Amino acid sequence: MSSFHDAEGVSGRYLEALIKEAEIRSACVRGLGGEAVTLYLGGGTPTSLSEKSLVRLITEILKSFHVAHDIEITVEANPETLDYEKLRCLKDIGVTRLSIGVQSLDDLLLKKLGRSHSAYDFVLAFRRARAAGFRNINMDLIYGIPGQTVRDWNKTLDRVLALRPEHVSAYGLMLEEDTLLWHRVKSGFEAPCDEDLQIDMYYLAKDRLEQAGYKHYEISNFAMPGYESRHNTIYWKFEPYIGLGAGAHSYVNGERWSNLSDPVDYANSIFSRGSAVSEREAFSKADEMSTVMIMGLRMVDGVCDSEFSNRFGVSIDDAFGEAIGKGVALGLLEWDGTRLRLTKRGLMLSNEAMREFL
Amino acid sequence: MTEQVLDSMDLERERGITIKAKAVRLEYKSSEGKDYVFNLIDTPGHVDFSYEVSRSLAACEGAVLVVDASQGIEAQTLANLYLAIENDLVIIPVINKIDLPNADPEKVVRELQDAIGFARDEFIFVSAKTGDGVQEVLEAIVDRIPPPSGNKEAPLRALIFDSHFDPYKGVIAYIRIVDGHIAPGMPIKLTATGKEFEVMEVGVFKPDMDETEYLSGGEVGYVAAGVKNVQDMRVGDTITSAASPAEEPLPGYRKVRPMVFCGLYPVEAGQYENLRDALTKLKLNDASLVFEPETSVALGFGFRCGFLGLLHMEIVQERLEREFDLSLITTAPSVIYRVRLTSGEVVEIDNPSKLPQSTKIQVIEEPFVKATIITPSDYIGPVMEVCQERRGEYKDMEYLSENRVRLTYELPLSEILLDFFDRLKSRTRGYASLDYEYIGHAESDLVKLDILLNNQPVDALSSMVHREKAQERGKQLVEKLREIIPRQLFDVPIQAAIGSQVIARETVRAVRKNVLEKCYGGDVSRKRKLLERQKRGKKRMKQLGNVEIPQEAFMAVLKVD
Repeated sequence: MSSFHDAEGVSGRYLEALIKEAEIRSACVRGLGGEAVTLYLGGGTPTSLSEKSLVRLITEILKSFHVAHDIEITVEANPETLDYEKLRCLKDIGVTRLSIGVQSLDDLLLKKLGRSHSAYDFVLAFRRARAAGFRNINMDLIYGIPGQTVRDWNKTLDRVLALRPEHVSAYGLMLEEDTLLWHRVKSGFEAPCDEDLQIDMYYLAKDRLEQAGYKHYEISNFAMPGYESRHNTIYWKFEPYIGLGAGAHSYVNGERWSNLSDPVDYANSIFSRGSAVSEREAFSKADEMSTVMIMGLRMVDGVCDSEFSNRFGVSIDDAFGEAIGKGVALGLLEWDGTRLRLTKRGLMLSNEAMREFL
Repeated sequence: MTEQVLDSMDLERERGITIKAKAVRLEYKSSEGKDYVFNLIDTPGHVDFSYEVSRSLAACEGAVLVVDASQGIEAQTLANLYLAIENDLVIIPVINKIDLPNADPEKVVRELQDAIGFARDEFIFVSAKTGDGVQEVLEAIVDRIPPPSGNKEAPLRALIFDSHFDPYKGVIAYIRIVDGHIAPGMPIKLTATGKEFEVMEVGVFKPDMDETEYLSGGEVGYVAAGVKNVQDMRVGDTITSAASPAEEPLPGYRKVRPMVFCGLYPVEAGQYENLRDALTKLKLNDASLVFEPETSVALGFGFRCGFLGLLHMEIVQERLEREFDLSLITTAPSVIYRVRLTSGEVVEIDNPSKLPQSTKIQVIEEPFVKATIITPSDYIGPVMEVCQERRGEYKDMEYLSENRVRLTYELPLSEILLDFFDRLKSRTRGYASLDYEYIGHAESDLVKLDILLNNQPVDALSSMVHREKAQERGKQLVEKLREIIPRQLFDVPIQAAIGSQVIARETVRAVRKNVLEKCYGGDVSRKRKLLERQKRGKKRMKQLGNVEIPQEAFMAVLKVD
């Protein structure tokens, strides 16, 4: 779900459109059986909604779908939007997991990234979340920020490990066009992070988090045992999901679709024609198989051959023998006859191996 | 009316140039009320195609010299003008584009007067765009150019000045009838080959082919005689009557000799036969194109092709890719080297990788050209600099007007192939023009520069360089290749070597990162597209051992400065 922070007056209407889309979608998928095992509110900043709106949104969505009793409900948040009352309220309506976009615990780097919170703001928010009862918190981190040194990154990791969140996502910085930092780099005020340095930082985070007991379970994700994101694992296993809201993507029954990305167009379209789908794409069995490999190899444990053959009626090496052979020869893949996974080196070179599965 | 009626090839229209000469017949009623028929031939101007110009001029009585009023005369203007004078043609100097804001017709007149000595009143000022002065040109043709002098009663003599191949009618020869006449049903004989055919069709160009009953003395038109083999009806040959052949053939042309060679290889090995068919088809209409099969360790099966010059080479490549939908790898162009071996034998080498071992070589000779460069006098210094950098030897300098100069240099042709014209243009803000002609082979101190990728020599990247420049060029070349060759999964050393001695080295560092770090439910399509794009990029590369090389790497030698 996305785009909660809209111009005044839009968010109310947008919220109603979301609720309506949930109702319509649930009616469509009810016939398929099964139940919703996860709910994820993210994209934009859902916590910028008022408590009242958040409660209404989540309860309406839960009402619409068949929901598992142990559903994982994640809400994405920025540190500055998390006051104690809101946290309590989220906890009360059943939110089980928080994902906080902290990016860094270095004030200078946060400023460079154009973030309005400080490292201290985050620590306070994190403590409030613990106090409100959250026992499953993710911290989103960014490394490879222009000017960032290995020492800076170590310091941020020190602070993260001191807080001991259950889950950590770490991404190398991608300079998004037209951001402040992008302009500063373009105009030469800031030197972009050297690729080798960025890779060193990646493997440094991997080593330190693993030493501290985190399991590296996806290219960019680490979790204490049992705290892997169940929601994101659905994406990486390429199992069915429904996305609600502007720009949201869904994958159900071999078909992918995405909604209009503009929130106003999205809401108008939901109210006028009961759907905001802008693009549809049918996935053949071959597309699905290759996507299962491409997405599945993101997981550090890789793709399980028996799961794959149960799903498709063919083993991984019968379907992709050539791609496997090539990846193994290049030292990017490991294949033990039951699981196919990326090697440590292959993690940062995964595209080189994955494209052979297309 | 369509613009650029005679430049009908897409390439000609896009580039605004004439590649192939075109004939057209024009009926004209003069101001005195008399009817005339003009047989006109539009010719290319570029130095590569001067043979087309000279052939066309041999078929004419006069020439209209059209000079751009804003550009003034260029090196090739003079080259073509001298050709016309050698052919004893009446020349009508026309200054065109006088409507342009920066036109300076008077200056151009002075330049032409100084160069050739035209009288002031010979000039006609024209804007082809507005139509100004066009009438005067047509009147001048009537007044100044003599009618054809041939004898209509004498035995047939017709000069073939061009041809094209028609899949139904066979060879269509473009002819100028000098004596006699030609008509369908008539048995004809080709003087050079001695072959005989029966005329099926004759006609004129209007500008499309327009069938007529016959062609007679002085006329320009075409003849089709069911000739299936282009070699049987060669450009420059004389057609005569098989029944009563003329005693003397017309003076022919010197056979054109390709000056520039390169390897053409299909990107996908499966396209080799298609490439052969395409070259064969192009050759039907372009006798100056030569090709023969060639094998490269790096590139597999392809063809060594010979061209008149760089523009000709570029045009052929582009036509192969466009008209025949081929994807090609082109190696850097080479000239013909004449190698005298210690055994006394002399061999001609058009591909540096074929050079014999250095211990067996006594002397290497390379082709030299006389280059004429016309430039505003402000740029004499830079022009001389470029020529000197390219091993040029100064011959002459002459002022065409107070601020335009003609410089003459002798240069190795190979230096001209290396981006010479572009450099000349960039150092003179685009004002310099160039014309050159082959003057002969001469000895040079040349060595073969080899390139090794991942410690393996790549034959298609070998080039001949002057010994004194080898070090520098080797360095530039490996640097350029480092930029062009994408990072692979391992370090790729690039070396330049003369024999076994490595003179320059660079390394393409291994790629360490190629990953989409954030990839969730909304990123599936984006991820697939990214990988598909990468996969396509890979496909376009040539695999040498385990190194992947993009096509443009093989032209890198042209791009160093």
